[in-house]
Amino acid sequence: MERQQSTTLFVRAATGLVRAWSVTDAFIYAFFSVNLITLGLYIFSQMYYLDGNLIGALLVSTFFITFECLVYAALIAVMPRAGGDYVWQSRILGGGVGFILAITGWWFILWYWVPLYADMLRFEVITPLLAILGAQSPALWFTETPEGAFISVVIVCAFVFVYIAMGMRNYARLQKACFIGGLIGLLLVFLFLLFGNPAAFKANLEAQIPQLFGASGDGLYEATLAAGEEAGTAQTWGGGWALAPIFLAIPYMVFFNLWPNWGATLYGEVRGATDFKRNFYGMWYALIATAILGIVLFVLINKTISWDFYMKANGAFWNYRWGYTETPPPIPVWPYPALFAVLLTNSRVIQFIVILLMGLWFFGWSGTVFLSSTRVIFAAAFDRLLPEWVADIHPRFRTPINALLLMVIPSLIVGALYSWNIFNFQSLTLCSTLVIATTYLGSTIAAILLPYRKRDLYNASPIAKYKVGGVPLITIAGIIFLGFELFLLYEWLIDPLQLYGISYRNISSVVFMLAMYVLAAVIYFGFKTYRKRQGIDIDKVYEEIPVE
Amino acid sequence: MAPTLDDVKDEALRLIEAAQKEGIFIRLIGGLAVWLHCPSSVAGPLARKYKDADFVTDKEGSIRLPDFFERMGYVPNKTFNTLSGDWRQLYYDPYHDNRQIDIFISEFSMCHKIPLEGRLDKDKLTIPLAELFLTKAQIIELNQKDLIDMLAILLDHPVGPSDDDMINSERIAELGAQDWGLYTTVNMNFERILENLGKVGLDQESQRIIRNRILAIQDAMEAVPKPTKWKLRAKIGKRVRWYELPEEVQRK
Repeated sequence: MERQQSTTLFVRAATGLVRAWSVTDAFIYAFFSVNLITLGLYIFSQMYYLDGNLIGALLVSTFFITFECLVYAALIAVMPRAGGDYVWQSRILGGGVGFILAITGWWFILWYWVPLYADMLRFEVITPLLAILGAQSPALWFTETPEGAFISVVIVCAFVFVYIAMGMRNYARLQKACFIGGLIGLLLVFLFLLFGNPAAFKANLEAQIPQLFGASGDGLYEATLAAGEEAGTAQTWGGGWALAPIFLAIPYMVFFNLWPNWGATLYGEVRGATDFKRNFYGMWYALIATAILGIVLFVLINKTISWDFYMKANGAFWNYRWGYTETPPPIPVWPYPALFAVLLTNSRVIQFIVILLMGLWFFGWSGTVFLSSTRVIFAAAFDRLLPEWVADIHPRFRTPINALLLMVIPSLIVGALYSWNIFNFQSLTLCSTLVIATTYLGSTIAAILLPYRKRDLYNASPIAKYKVGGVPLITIAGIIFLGFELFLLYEWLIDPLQLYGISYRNISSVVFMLAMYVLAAVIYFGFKTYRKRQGIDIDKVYEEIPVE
Repeated sequence: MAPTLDDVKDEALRLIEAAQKEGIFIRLIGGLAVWLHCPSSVAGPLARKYKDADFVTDKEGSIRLPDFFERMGYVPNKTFNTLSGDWRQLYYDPYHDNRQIDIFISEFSMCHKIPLEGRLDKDKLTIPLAELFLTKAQIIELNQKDLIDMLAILLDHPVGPSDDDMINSERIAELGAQDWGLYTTVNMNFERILENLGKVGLDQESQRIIRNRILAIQDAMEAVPKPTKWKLRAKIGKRVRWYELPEEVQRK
C-alpha cells in the first residue's frame, strides 16, 4: 500500500482482505505434512532391511529438500493461487502437462494414500487405545484383519470429510489444537524414554504386551530379536554411514519428508503469500524442526528400547505382513515407539492419555489427504477442464461436496483393494510417493524455466532480486532439486538393487500408475474437445493467470 | 434496462429492501452506512463519493445470498466465494462497470476482528453505530475517507451507554477490554483524528464536539477493568505486531 504525503494517512484502492490462514497456520500444515509420528514412524519401520544410517539419510534428504522449499516458496511468491502446481505448470509448461501431472499427483494418487493413512490410524490410535481400554479382541481385529483395515479407511474418509467441511478458519483452529496437544504427547514420550532404561523396558514389555494383546510373555523380547534377525533386519545403530547406503535409504525416507510444500496448493488463502522469505521459512522450519525431533527420537529409542530391538520388531512385523513368512510376529501389533514408551508405566490412565495425545499427530494431519487436492480440483474446474459442478459448495454445510466425493468414492474402492491386498496393492506403498514426486518434477522444471518463459511475470515478482552469480535463484535451486528428483525416480523405477518394490518389474505398480496418467490424459483431451465445441479455447485460458 | 440502479446509494437501499422482503438478513457497513446515519456526510466538508457497498449478514443469510444476488442482477466472484464464502463473499454489478459488493459474514475481520453475532438486529439498516465506528477505527493504514467517516459519526451522534442513535461507549470499551490490539489501534486513530481535525474544513464548534466525544469514549475505555490476558499482552506492547494488514488482491 502506498503512503500518502501526510505522515498519518494512507491510500487504499479498495476494501482489503485478510486471508483465512496466517503464516503460522501454513507452518503447522507443513509441519504436519512431514509428520514424524505418522508418516515418519510408519516408513522407518519398513526400512528395517536397509543398512543406510537413518540419521544420515534424514540429514542428507533434508539438505536436498531445502531446495524444494526454495523452489516452491519462489513459485508461490510469483503466483500465490489456489491450485499451486496445476496453475504454475499449466501457465509455464502448458495445459496438457500441467493438467495430467497435477491431477494424477494431487487427485488420483491420493486415493491410494487413504488406506496408508488408515494403516497409521489403526496402528497408532485405534489398536493401542482399544487395548489399553481392555478391548483386546477388537484391538487385534483392527490390526490383523482386512475388515479392520477397511473400516479404518471409512473412518479416515468420514473424519476428513468433516474436518474439511469446517472451513479453512476452523480447520486452522483444530490443526493448532492438535499441534499443541501432539507436542505435549511427544514430550511425555521423550520423558518416558529419557528416564527409562533397557532393563525396565524389557521387563515391562514382557509383562504388559501379554496383558494388552494376549501374546506369550516368556521370552518375548528374545523371540522378537530372533524373528527380526530372520526377517533380514540390516539396520544397526551407528552403522551405515557411507554415502552409498545413505543414498539408497533416501528413496524410502522421502515417503515422509518430501512434503513440506504440501500446502502449496492452498497459498491463495495464506496471508502475505507474495513474501518469498516467509513462504520459505514456513516450509523450511517445519522440515528442520521435524529432522531435529526425528534425531532426538532415534537417540531416545536407542537409549531405552535399543535400536536393535526396535528395528528387529519392525522386521518381524512387516516380514509377516508382507507374506515372507507364515509365522506371526511375537508382538502381534505394529511396533509403535509411543506404545513401547508408555509400557514403562503400569498406569492405564497415563498410557491412555499419552497415546491419545500422540493420536493428535494423526488427527491434526489427516485433513492433508484431501484438503490440498480440493484446491487443485477447483482450479481445474475454474479453468473449465472439469465440469463446473465439481467446484460447487454445498450451500448449507459450506462443503465442496462434489470435489470431496470425487476423492472419497475412489478412495473407498482403492482402500478395499489395499485392505484385501487385491492385485498385490499392499506392495505399492512407494507409488504414493513416486507419482507426487513426478508432479513436483513438473513444477521444478516450470520453476527453472519461469524467468525465461514468463519474463515479465518474473521480473515484476518479488523474487526477481534473488540471484546467484547473475542466475536467478529459482533456476539454481530448481536445477539442484531436479537432480535429486531424477535420482529418486531412477531408483524407484529402475531399482537396480531391487530395494523399493515399485519398479518396472512390479506389474501392479506399472499398470496402476499408467492407468492414472491415461485417465488424466483422457479427461484433459476429452474436455478440451468438448469446450472447443462450446466455443471455448482452453489454450487461451492457459495464457492468463487465474484471478484470486 | 439494467436491473441495478445507477447510484450506489439507491442500489444499496434497493438490495436491503428486497432482502428484507425475502427474510434475508443483511445490514450495511462501511461508508454507505455512515451516509445513512450522518447528515453531515450528505453535504459539507464531510461529504464524499461512494464507489461500492459493503454488507454484513448472518450464517443463514450467507447461504441464501448467492441465489439472491444472482436474481438482483449480480455476478459472483466464483473463485473467491468457493474458497472463502463461509466468511466473506464478493459480487459484481456487470451493468455498472463491475461495481463491487463485499459481504462480511457474522464477523468483521480486517486489521482487527469485530464480532457482530448477537448485535446485527440493533439497527434496521446498518450495524450499530459503535461497531460502525470501530470498523473504521480498527484500520491501521487509515485513509482520508476513513477519517471523514469517523468524523461524521462523531459529529452527528452523542456518546452514551446505549445503541439508540448514539455511539455506545460501553460496547466499544467492552471490545477494547477483550482485545489489547484493538484498544491500541483505536487509541492510535484517536490521535490521528485529533492531528488532522483542523485540516478537513470543520468549524471550531464541530471540532470541539468531536474532541469531547473522543474524550468520552477514551474515558469509557480506560474505566472498564481489563482481564489478565489483556494486561499480559499490554506488557509486550508494540514490540510484537498487534494487527493484521489486509491485502489488496486481484479479484476480477
